[in-house]
Amino acid sequence: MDAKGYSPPWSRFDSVAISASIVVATALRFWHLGSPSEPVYDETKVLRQAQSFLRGWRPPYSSHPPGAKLMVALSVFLFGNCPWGWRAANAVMGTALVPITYLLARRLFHSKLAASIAAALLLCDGMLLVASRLAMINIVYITLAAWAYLMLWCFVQNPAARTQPVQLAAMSILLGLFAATKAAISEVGVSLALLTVTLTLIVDGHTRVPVQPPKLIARRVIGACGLIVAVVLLVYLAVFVTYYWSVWRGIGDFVAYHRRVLNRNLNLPTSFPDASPFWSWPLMLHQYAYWKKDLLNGAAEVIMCGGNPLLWWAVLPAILIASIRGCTQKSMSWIFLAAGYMAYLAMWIPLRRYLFIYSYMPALYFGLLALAGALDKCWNGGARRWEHLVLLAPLLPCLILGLGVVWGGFTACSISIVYLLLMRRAEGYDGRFVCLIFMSAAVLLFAYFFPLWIGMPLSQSGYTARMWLHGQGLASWIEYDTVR
Amino acid sequence: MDRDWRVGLNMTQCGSRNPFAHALIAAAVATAAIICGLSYLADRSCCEKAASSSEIDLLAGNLTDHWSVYGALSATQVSFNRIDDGSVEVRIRADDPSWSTANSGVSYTAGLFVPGWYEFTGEFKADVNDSQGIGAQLEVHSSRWRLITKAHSRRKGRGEKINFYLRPSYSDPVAEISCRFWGGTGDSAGKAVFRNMRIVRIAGSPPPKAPHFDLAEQEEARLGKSWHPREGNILLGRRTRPGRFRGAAVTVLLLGMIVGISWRLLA
Repeated sequence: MDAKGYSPPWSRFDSVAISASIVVATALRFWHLGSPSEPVYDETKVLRQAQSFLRGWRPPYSSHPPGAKLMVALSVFLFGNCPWGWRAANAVMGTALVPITYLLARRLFHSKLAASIAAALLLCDGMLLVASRLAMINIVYITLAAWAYLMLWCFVQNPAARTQPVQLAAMSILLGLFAATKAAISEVGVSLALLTVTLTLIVDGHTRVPVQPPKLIARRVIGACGLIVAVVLLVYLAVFVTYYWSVWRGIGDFVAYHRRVLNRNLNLPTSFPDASPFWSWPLMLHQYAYWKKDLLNGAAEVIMCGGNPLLWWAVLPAILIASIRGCTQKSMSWIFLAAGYMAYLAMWIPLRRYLFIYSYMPALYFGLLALAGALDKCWNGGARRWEHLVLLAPLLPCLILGLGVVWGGFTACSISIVYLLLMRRAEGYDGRFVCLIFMSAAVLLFAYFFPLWIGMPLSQSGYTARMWLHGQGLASWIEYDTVR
Repeated sequence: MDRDWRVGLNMTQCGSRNPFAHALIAAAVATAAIICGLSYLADRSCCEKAASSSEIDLLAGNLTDHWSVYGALSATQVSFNRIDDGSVEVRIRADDPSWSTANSGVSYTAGLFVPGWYEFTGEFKADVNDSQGIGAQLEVHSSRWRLITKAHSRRKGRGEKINFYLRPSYSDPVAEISCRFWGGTGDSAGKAVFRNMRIVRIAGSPPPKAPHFDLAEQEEARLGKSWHPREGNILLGRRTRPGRFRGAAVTVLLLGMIVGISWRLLA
């Protein structure tokens, strides 16, 4: 396993890249944050919870723990009960996610370029942008999880056993906050961290000189797992203190609450408007509008719950690359990313209740990291030919759906010809070409779909042109619940 | 201290030698703070402007920028025309009667972010023909509450007057005023006239005999006022019963012990 070792020395490039990512992320997340000036989608539920915390009422029922709602409550307390005040805390969390991802990718791939690409991919995705600009819970848990993974990789790459417990404690606090924000998904995150820590300690014990005795390794594994589980539970309990103070009479109510949440979720129906099965998420078959307004001047204002199609469709090849590289190179980073992505998708298999596409976000995050790693390998000449091709493949549907069969086909042919020429005449530049073309297309598509993610007025024709999938069944982006 | 653990990077050591890294990141954070501040101020000024005027005229300005269509209607099927007496006529044009099967109409959303009471006034008139299935109704939605005023065929020439007071809920301080139509096809598939439609923020409470709806009070009653932060602190508040924290305290103690033991095992 290649996990051990420091990340490359901090350079001016890192400073410039992380600074630029902070500024761009802030601008994208805070620009016209108060628009629309009404609660969007589940914001009403979150705001009701937040108000109940602020006013000392009994919190209304929610399937998810109160972590993110407490954050919205704090935001409303600080900035007022207005749209900007509702969303400010989440915008801060969404902004923080970008530099955190830079640091995480830098550790995972030991590369500044991979880190920069990862930050850029995050900036170019719509789902993360929308989640950062609305007072809902998704961006809070994604950011906490990313921060916890960063601490996890600090632990994994730390050769000094003396400081490892501190890193584990910090990671566990973040995982506890993650668990106190989102039910079910957070349990997968904690399990992933436990597995990675266990694997790290076992590998570390066997590779140290002198080799650690099995008893000592077992002792350290038990200690690490005990520490993580206990701290996570402590933080989880601490976040629920608001419920304790307001309505609960004892630990029995804590148990009863969780039983109620479980029963409600088990009894939810299998279908619901705008719901989609988990297997359709990577293909982005059914994104839908969180909010839509058809103005009388002919413009449409929309906030879509969907992402950048190129990035979403490229995540699957990236995970394929991560899985193969993880197996062949015995690379812990690649295995971590592939396993994380699969775990966050596989967790939905046993569930029969209706699901929404935004539940793909934790898996998408792993996919985008893997994509950054794969593009970095392309740039540095470390990628094989098939990897170039599978990364270029998602461009084809984007070109055809965006430009039409003729122009899309023509552009795809041009790209293929340039790639073939570079492959034959200038070896080494073909990978760079793949990376450049991909990133340019991602930025262009981001600019194209940007109005759909922030509710910017679009002409009806502009809106229709952006609805690439408009079939009658699941593969449709324009299904919108008109029943009020 | 190990160089790796602080921020997950070895920049702390490099940074001490090269202040460029810290200075640049500090400048980026400062720029981000300025962007946040500007965004806040821009939004604040809009809110304050709305609050200072204390009146929202639903029929002022460019109507097509504020009013939207919903349901099966599209913007091209709806026209807003100002009439000489200051009223506004809404006309629905439809070739296909299917628009009427879905809940369709026009709407206006108003943010009521300054807490307190608001007076809703206006006059509403619509073409109604019960035998042909043509009609319209004015709806005011806020949170889960709605008020419906239906146009009547008996009152030919006279409109429905609207005058009531509303205090929005804390969690959804927004009101949506919509006019739902149903009807047939042609240039006058549906028609309504609005006049003097206003939302005015009032100081104090509404007149006792006037129709009023206190959604804030309803929300408070629904969620139950089980405690209030001002009635004592979390440790010594008069509503605190130490007994109910016993189970949690034991759990915390147990988990604390596990943390201690695990730490020793790991170290």
